[in-house]
Amino acid sequence: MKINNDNIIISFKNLSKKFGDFQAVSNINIDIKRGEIIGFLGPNGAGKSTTMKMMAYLLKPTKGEIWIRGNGKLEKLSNHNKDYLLNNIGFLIENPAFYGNVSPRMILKYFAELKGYPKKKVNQRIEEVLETFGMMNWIDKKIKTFSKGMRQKIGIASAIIHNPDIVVLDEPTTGLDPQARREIRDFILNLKNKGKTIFLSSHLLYEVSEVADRIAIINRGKIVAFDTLDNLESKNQKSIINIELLNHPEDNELDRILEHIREILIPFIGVSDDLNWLNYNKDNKIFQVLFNGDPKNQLIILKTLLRHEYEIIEFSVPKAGLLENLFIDLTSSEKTQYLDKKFDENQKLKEISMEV
Amino acid sequence: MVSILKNNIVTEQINIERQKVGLRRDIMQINNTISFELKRNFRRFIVLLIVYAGIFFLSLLMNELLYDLMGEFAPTDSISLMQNYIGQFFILALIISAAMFGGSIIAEDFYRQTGNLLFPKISKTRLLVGRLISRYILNALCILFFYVLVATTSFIKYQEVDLKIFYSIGWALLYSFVLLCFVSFLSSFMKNTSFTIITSILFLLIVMQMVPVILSYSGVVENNEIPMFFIFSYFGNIISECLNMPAVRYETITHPPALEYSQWSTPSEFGAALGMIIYIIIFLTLAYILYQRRQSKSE
Repeated sequence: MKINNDNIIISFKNLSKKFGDFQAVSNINIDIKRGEIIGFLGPNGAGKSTTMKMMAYLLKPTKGEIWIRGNGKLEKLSNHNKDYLLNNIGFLIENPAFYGNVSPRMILKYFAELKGYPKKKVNQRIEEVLETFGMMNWIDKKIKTFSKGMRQKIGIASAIIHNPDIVVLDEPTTGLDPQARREIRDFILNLKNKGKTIFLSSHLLYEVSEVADRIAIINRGKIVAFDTLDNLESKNQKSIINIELLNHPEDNELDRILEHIREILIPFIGVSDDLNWLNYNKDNKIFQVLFNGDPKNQLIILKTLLRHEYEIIEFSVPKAGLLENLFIDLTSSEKTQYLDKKFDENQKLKEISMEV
Repeated sequence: MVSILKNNIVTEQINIERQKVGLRRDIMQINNTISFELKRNFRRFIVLLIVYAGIFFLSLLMNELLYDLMGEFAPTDSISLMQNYIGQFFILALIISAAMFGGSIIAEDFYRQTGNLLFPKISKTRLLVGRLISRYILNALCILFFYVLVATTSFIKYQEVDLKIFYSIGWALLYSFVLLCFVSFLSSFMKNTSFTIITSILFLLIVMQMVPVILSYSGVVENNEIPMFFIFSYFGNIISECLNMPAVRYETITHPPALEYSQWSTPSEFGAALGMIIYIIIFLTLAYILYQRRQSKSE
């Protein structure tokens, strides 16, 4: 089998993994293009870590193949070429733990040399990477004195220390405070700007929506969706608009305002009236309107509200909210069954067309 | 322009280094692991040097004060001095250092989950080989330090150091490797480092000493027909006895009023070498298989 697309850097072909009778990963087909960030989402036990471990050759696939670009051409990952193909990938496999009695310089030097980084350049590279994380003052301190956030940064540093083109990050911000999360998110975007390809798994939907170019949603070992967020959103035909008014409604007038908005917007929302499509959040004083995601409807809703002299100071479509809805929709059992059926139908169609 | 050129040169160098795969990569990664582990275990090495020095001073105290007072066991020449020093607490030091260096060799990465960072970068085989070599080097340095102290004492007291000491060093180094392999085997399935260290010390000090006594006393091994090759601590006796070959192969031990039994005390040189090599192969193979099969909590 030959795969010819110069832009593809990693390709999963019918990737499957079985543990005894349990199908952990089933027929995953994903092509990852150079320079993009892929968000890999799924509930616990969905098969995210298993997929990543197969990529790192820590687990062997029961069926299917992983193709990785090395020396300009895509090659099938196997025991004899894993060293040099994986040299171009940096892995951070969940929950990095370090030996407490070593310094970042010592451990990063070891990791860089293991991956074949030129010895003479290692120290310079370590300083460069730690500088990016603002950790130069800690370079020779013992890791046991570090906070969890600092350890996580060293974990990411260890994944990129040998300057790979592909970076695989499994839950890189789990358990971190918002400040550290933001720093790591900015760092991921910075890597993308340098042309790196990033495969990012996370439970934190908001985070993935902030950085990912395309999102793969995995449930029960199967990919239930893989597309850009905009396309997923339009396929799902639902979006949320957040609206904030200049003058926040008082409690006694809230019902009247809600009723009025409901009345004027109902022709344009494009979703079933049975859904509770209009809400007001008293904590952040935001109206939330669920609509069909069509940008034309979004514009009409805005115009209608302005025409009725609502003084709007915020009108936005939060991506995390959409993703959350989408994620729950796609990973709920009914939807999964529906998609399973669709998937099987597609497979049959593919097989038929192959035979033809 | 200059920085672009520099970047290109670095990228080119990275690509050249990355081409080193197969045996070259094996050797390179093992070499890197040895140098990392030597640095990482340096503090442990210093602690064990102190332990060996402590054991030496304890032997010094016994030989120079107690035995001199008792007269009977006092060394009279370089050989008997070395035999006294090596035969007393040295085996205990060997066991402690093997347990300390080998206890964490496999168990640590699973207990602390440090394997999540290591294993995509290096294979378990290369890591195990690198670690065994580095820890054995440190262990061997501790042993040599002890022998230097013993040789110095012999030289100060008798103005000579019998060259048979090198036989003893050779056997000590071989036996310490058997112990290291045994502890590595325990480490491959034990939960954590501390548990491995304690279990291995207790097993080597108590179980390995008790089993021959029980077997001999109970008469299971009748008339000393079978040397105790099945007890690998038996091979440790050759470290001191090789200084005075041919040594007594078995002896009758009497504990008044009623306890009397015979047991094998010294293996032959050929038997010891063969036995230890067989044990090394068995322990290393088992450790390797269990290590390969073992998976971290998250896998």
